[in-house]
Amino acid sequence: MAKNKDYIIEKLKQQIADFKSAPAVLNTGRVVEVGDGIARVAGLSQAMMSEMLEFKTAAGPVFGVALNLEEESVGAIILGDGKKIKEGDEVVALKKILEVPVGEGVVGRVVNPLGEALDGQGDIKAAKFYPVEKIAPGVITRASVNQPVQTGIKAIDAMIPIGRGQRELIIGDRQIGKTAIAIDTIINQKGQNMKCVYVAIGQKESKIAGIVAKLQEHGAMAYTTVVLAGASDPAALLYIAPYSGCAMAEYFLDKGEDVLIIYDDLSKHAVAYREISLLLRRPPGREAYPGDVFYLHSRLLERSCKLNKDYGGGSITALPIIETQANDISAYIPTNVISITDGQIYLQPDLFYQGNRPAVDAGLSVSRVGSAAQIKAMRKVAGKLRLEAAQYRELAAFAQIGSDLDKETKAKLDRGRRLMEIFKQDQYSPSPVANQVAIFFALTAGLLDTVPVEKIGEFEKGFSAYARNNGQKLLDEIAAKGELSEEMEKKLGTLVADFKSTLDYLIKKED
Amino acid sequence: MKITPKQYAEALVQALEGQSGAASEKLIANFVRLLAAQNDLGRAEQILERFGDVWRRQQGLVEAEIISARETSEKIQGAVRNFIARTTGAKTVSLAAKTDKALLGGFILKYGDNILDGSLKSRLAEMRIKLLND
Repeated sequence: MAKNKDYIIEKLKQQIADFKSAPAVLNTGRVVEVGDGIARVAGLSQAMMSEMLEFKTAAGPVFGVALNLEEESVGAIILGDGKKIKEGDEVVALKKILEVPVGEGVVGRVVNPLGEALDGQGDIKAAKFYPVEKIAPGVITRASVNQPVQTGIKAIDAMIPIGRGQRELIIGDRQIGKTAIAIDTIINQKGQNMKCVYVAIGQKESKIAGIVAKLQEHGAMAYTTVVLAGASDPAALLYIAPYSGCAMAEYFLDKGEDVLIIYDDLSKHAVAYREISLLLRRPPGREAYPGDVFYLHSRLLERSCKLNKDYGGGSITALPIIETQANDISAYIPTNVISITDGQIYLQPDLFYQGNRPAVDAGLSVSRVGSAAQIKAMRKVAGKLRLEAAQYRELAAFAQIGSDLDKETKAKLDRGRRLMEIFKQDQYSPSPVANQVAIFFALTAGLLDTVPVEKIGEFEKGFSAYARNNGQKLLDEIAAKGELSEEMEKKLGTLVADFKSTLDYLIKKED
Repeated sequence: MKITPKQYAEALVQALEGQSGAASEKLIANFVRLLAAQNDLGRAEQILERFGDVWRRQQGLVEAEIISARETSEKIQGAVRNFIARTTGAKTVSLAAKTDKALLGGFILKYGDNILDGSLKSRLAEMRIKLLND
């Protein structure tokens, strides 16, 4: 006991002796006007754009960011409780950009955009502090995308594959399954050597509580950070939330790791920015959004990239989410973000209500990275699927007329119907890549043509269970090698045929 | 077009430059009449404040305040004046000295809209935060 006490006293004395503080000259000002989450400050003649400010209030320091530099005053947003600030309070410019704590300490936690813990599990131990605003990596530092992000969703991994370092927009109306795609992707990153950051902007806190519970249930919180700026948080926090999340992801990027970041959703982010801009009296543009709303999202999404080996080889894959009103993808914010991202996953309400969930519209959805982000095995079996889905869509309208069709058209229709059945997937059940390769192989080889369309779903479930018991070695080989050789194809064919012969899928399962 | 207090102040400073006492009085009377005509008499306080700022800047005069825990000697005050003159390029520095025991030691220097906080109270607070976080 005595040893510990002396050791601690020694350490303290040493730290105090080592303590160097050089007081610096700071620029100050006075609050002239405060309210609605923004403050106007007179003085601060040397404040810089996006500089962090400290309001010295009676109840302690409150932080803010200088956003409007005018001739006689500075307009700032308040990151915290604006009620503590009174007119006449002193404001100091801290000569740095807003920083957030980053490091391993944020993994598995729910934090607010300033890095404060919200899950009641103690303070965040930060390895470093990263600035929220950062210039995106330049052209020379980047490499082209070549590794896949396995979302576990068959429709996406087959037809609109996503690579590590790509930005893929998830766009659709409300209640269509946008967040569901994002959460399934996070759940499927188990064992894929990816860290995940889920940034919730303006979402209901109850929804986020449900999401965190689901992620914990599937063991995903072990590699996920949730940055939460809830619906009742001030617009200033909603504004910086995605940048904070990106800063936390950049810590792992700099270490050479791969990160998946999801911005849910950027429509609410644009609305929060519009609110701040209008309060700061910036001139409104189209739909009352400020003139730089494109820059708002482009500087955020450009920070998601794949770096080349000289810079660590890490990547940040971004899945921004945009909510459209009445399916209108030609509105202002959706068109902005579509032009920034490397592709979009478009979710259609028609498909949703017809029962095709996830309601991915294969025609309008695109991935500009494409098959460069697929493993060879998947490329082999799923390469033609996009075309087949498109052809089916063309013919399906035809088939509704009910006239006599020739054999080829009928075959295409049958194949297409089975393909659509395979693309249907339950929520929270991501499909491992080897299983996907197996089922697509079965479809394209014609092995599923004799299975009734309405039994395809059960066939697939049954086949998964069967393969786990009898063919796991083969599936592991496919997953490990990423290839499908002639021999493996033959083995896979035999496996499917064996399962078919058991005819288990024709008997309805009593669950 | 609205005229800002700063513009009024700058105009007044320019007008008063190099004028004798009597002429200045006439100018100021005219200025007040101008304010009345423009319906801006209500902003006279703001304009006076701005006038002070512009005048001081033009004359190279900086007003500073030093708050220390103990009385500051002439030598220290002179050194502070030199420091301010050096960093702001001011020609004259008017330094007001105050004491405040709550600072425990050191001083706080305010000049223009800059503040240099070398007080012991602040340094102790800094040290506390640093020790708690390490």
